[in-house]
Amino acid sequence: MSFLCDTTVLFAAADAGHLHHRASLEVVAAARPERSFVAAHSLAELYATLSGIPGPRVRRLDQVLEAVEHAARKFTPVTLSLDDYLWVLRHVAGAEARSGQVYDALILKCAERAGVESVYTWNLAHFERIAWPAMADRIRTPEQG
Amino acid sequence: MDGMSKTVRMDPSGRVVIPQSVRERYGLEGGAFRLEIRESAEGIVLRPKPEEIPAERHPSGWIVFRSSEEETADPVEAVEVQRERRHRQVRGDE
Repeated sequence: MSFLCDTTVLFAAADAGHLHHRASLEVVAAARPERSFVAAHSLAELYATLSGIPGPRVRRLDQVLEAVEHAARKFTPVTLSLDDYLWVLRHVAGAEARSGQVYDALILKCAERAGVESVYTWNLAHFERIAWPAMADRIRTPEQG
Repeated sequence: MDGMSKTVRMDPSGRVVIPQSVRERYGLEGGAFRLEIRESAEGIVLRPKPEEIPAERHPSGWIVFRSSEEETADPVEAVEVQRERRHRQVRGDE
């Protein structure tokens, strides 16, 4: 089955401290480039989130980069055209979605471009809020399979 | 921020409080931090010296970090925090 993982799944897979770590790691460990996709933007978000400073301790940047590069090898990164970007911006404006929800809509557009059967995220509320009919029934958490 | 200047007071025991705006800018929030004290030609330099969250390679090949419960943010919240930080930077608030 083909699937795309959003940034929240990649991040939860990368840190054992997360409640969703096990289910996320199970999904990403099964990733194969021919059937597994990630929005190229999610690679930057994964770097930003892992390299952020959550408290007194930090993740080493060389290990963060290694984690992101591994994701880029195991998944096929998907990029969008300018027309895709403009379509998404018009869509989120029409849906009265504000702020960072546009990034989730861009990730969903990548999933549509890749033609995946499933879009895995831990942020169901945002994705369902900005989903359009062709994609709405493909959104699920890794636990929902 | 290069060139920023603030004046603080040191108490008789040698303690100083780093202003909140500076702590925020350098991510010095949410716990105790190690700081390296270095003498330079211009005076005393304080540099954050955080400890590292250990990581290991899972049998599947993925790098897995081992953060503690206190350091663990909900993945949705963690991503949102980074997005909001970026928005603040674009607006010039940070």
